Amino acid sequence: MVSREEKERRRALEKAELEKRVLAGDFTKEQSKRLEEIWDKEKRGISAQANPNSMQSKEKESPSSGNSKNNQSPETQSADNSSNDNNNSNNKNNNSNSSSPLQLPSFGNLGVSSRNRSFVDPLKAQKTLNVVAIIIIFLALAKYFLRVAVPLFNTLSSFLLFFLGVYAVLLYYQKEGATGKTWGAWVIVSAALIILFIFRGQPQLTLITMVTAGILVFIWVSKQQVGESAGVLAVLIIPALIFALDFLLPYASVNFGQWIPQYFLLFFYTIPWWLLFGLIVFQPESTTWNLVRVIAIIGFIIIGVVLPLSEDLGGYAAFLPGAEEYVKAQEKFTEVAEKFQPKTERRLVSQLACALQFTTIDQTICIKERQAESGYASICKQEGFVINSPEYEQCIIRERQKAASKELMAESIIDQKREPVKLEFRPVTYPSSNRRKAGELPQMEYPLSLIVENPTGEKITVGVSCKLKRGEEIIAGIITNKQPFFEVGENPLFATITCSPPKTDIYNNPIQGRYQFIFEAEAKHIKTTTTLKRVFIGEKDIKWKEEWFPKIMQAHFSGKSYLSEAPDDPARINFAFGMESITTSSKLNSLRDQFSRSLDFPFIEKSGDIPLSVTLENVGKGKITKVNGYTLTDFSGFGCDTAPCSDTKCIANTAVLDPLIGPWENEKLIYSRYLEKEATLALCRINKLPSELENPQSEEAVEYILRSFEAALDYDYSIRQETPEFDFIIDQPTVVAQTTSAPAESGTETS
Amino acid sequence: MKKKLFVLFVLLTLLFSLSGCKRSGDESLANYNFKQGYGEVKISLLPNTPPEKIYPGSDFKIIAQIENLGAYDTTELKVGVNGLDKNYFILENSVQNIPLLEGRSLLAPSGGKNYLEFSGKAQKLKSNVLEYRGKYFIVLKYKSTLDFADTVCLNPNFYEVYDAGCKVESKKTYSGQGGPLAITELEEIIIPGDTPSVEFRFTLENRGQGKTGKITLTTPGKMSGKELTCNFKTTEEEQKTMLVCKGALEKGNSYTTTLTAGLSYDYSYQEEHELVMMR
Repeated sequence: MVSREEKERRRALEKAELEKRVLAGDFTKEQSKRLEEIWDKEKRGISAQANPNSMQSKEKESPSSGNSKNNQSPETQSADNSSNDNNNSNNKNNNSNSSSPLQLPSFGNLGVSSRNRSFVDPLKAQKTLNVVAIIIIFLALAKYFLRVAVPLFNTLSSFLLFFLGVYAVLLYYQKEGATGKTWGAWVIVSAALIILFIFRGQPQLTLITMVTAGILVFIWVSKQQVGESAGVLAVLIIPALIFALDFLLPYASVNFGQWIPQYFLLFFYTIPWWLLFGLIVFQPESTTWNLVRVIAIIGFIIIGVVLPLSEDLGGYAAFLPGAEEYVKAQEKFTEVAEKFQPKTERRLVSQLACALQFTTIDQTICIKERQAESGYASICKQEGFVINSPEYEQCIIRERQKAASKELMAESIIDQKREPVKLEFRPVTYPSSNRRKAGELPQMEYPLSLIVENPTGEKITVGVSCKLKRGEEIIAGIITNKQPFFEVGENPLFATITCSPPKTDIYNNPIQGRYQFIFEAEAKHIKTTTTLKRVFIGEKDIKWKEEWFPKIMQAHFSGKSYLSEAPDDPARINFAFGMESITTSSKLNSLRDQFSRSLDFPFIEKSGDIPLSVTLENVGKGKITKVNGYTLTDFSGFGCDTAPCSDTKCIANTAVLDPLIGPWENEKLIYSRYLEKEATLALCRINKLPSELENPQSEEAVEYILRSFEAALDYDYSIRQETPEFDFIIDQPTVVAQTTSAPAESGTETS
Repeated sequence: MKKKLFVLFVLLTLLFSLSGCKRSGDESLANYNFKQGYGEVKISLLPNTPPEKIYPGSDFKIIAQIENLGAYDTTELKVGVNGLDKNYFILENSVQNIPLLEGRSLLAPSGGKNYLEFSGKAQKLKSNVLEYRGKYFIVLKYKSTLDFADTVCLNPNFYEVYDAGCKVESKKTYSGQGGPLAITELEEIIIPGDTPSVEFRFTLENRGQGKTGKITLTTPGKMSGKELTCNFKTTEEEQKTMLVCKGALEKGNSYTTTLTAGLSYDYSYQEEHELVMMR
């Protein structure tokens, strides 16, 4: 229930508003005409309508100078006009609660509903706006820092910030003196958000809903007769756009990724736009705070927007946002983002730290180094090392070496035209338990299929073994096949390996309880070869390179075939060599940009240093147990480190290398237990080419020479398979109670 | 009687019609100017040479037909096969020469033709390799010439209003001289004065499918039998250049004269092909 005083106060406010509008000449012709009718009626003594909003009869001053003439005789009109004008000017600054000489009709009689008018104190609106802006700033900061750690918070904060953003825009216009109720805009926006949630945020529906909501808000605001309705709509688009970025960017990256660079989308995704919005709408009265605000905005633009533009943000895969998929989408995005940048320091933090250093170091280098160091720290923490401990420091050094050596790690692509060596176990259906009587041995053989394919034809020997495992307890099993090894040539092997448990466990007790069977197979002397193509061009000018490089790339190096090519074997020997520097022109920039490392650039000139890298890579699910040797062929005539390559171990090393033990000779092998998948076998430098490759004669219609090289690897490989738990059950004997009976009488037979 | 007259009339009409026909054989060929339009040396591989599929360890041949469709003889023609990996395909002779290949002329209206045979052997595939595809380029390089001749109007009295002589054409365009390199435009600039002179600007463009190399002026520009002073001017456009020739004019009325020039140039062209080896 609204009190009488409150009603009177509201009425006084409405009157004051009406006065303002009268002085501003806001009334239309129809309203003026209506006024004239009302005044006329009153003059003729017709009582005012029993309407609390009806016009007062006392004061008959017209709302405008024109109307006042209707109330008076023509003779006194001009005199009264001047007095009325004086009264009007006197009453302009009157307190709204005092009775005004101008008894003005209310909104109701003017045909304008009082419900559409809401007088808002601009000062109050300003204060509320500042509070909302501060909330937006803090919420935006929290969203930025917690986005990765708490994806749900990221999603919820997006919606909350959108509400606050819309509220801030409406407050902004109210503080500028705009009037009009805003509940309609809130209803439309809320309805739009509900629709987005109900229909699982389908991207097309998102766009349609937001555009429709925008149009409806515009119509609502227009009906409030607020002169800045178009401006309000324009500014309302800002919070809508920032809200949309969170969810529509992943959609855009999936569906329009081929036209929009991924790093461009990531750039827009990672910038905390709500922070900038909050800083802009925050308008403190104090000069000092305003200065702080301006500095913060400038700093944000430079550090948060301009600086990142100079960085290579890379690319990432994203996905369609969907509803409860909104949350899952955010979580998945963080996974992908983590792959791209695994838990490194926040880019904004790195930017701030480097900016505050005030040194001559290039900011880009500073940021990259900080990001890299934080990545190493994150990995070493994940490994469980205590920060600042000697082991932690060694881990950091190792990660740095790994990063440096990655530049010289040769890579391979899979050659689909070559059949790979396969070594794998396949499960077989078998009961999950074995039951036996006490004192009996477990009569069972657990089976597993072993498949070995060896298309190279070079014989390999495969030995199998099995164990039983229960927690920390491991006991040797018994392979019950005729022989625990197989020789595999060109024909594939499909064998069933069977394993029986031993009689007793490690405590010499009968085998009982749940055990897992562990099968292992080791293939010895698997041979694999990798090929690499290079083009020798001799001495050619820029024009020739501009003409021929694209043609040669298209003909011989489609896809990534400038890398070494290997079959999809469990292990590979990768190798690469390329000129450290080769002169090209700006026309060839797009071609050069495909190669992040000079090692992979396939064109070799007559002279120059050519690093050669040979790498061992484990791509299977098992382990390389031994490297029996490797060789690179077709390198006769090449000079390495001022000696023929064949004399040095760069090109061939037939020594047996055990990757499990290490260290490898001459420290050429960088092996780390964290680099279980890759290890450098050799690094050397070619500085002389064979004479036939030095200078192909263009005059003789020989523009270039294509040559392929081969690397062969001989290695041992083991695979392992653990079975589901198998229950050994021993049935305990039942004790049968024996009863004693009285002996039978003599002569009596008992049946 | 009328019928007879009618038949006679028809026979006479036929006789006149047939006698009006010209033989288009030798007479038109003799008049045909081969040194017009654009033409160049073409390469084509004969069907099945090489075969679509080559088996490991087998021999194969690449037979290329080289045909000169230009109006000028080519010299020092070299054909090379580039890009085959010798670990998979070995060619006995990857470069072959044709010292001279006739251009189109009255004696050889279709141009000179030659066949080049490249013999090769496919190496063995490794046991786990199913197929190998090797792309290669057939590269063609030769030297050729270009002859230019046209009638131009020279007017030493540039300011003379009443001149019953010829009219100077400041710009003329041409549709080739029968080779891949062509003079496409000729600009004539008369420089009047006490010692009038003329400047001819020839625009040379490559209109073939290959690329022009070095261009040399073998027969300097001549005008009325007098040699002009000529220089090449490079342009920003690729495969386009300008030859600027200057000469003095004798005072007098306008007159027509013959303008000639001869050029030689290097030309290259390449085509991409593929060899497929499979089990």
